[in-house]
Amino acid sequence: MIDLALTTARVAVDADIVFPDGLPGFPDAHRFRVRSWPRPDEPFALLVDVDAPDEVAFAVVPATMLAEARLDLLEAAAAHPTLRDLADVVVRCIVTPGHAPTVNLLAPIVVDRATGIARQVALDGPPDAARAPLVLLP
Amino acid sequence: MLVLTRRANQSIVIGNDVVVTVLEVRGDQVRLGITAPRSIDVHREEVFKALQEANRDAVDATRDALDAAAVTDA
Repeated sequence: MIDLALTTARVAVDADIVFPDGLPGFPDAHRFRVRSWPRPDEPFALLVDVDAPDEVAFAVVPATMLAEARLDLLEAAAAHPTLRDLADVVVRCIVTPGHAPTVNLLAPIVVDRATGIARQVALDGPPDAARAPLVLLP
Repeated sequence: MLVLTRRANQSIVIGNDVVVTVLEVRGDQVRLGITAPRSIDVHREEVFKALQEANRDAVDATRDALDAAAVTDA
């Protein structure tokens, strides 16, 4: 296990990231643009599908901000198609907003900042880890 | 559905570079080893279905939140 605090890399707002294989449930969604959300000073961001901006957007939060994130970066990086240097890894988790927001700890989004290539990587864990309560670090 | 019979330590090949090997058969459980390029996702079916549902719910909830914010801003 690698300390997630070491993963300080960020993906710039307005940058595009590409999921060559789409995401589970959205196999045709490939190119996303990073947007700040709801305000630039908050940790959350939006990934907006460039080809269907009114239909597909994911709210995401840095794994480093989560109290319960226990991600094995080596495992996640090994499952990434292009990632070669852990200094380029950016890990975001998908948030389901609402009155009781949840976060997907089972399958984080791993971005290779060097290439912009991203993949939602399923880690070992129970399926209900895809809907863990959202608890941010203070 | 193609149905094949394999024993422990026997494999099937899918395409040019995916190999599924039966490692062990014990009772009603089968252990499989899968060799595939890094570009190919391999999931347990129940995990893949959970991810599909979680992603769809996340997109729906995010759209609702964006719509609500748009109404508030207006």
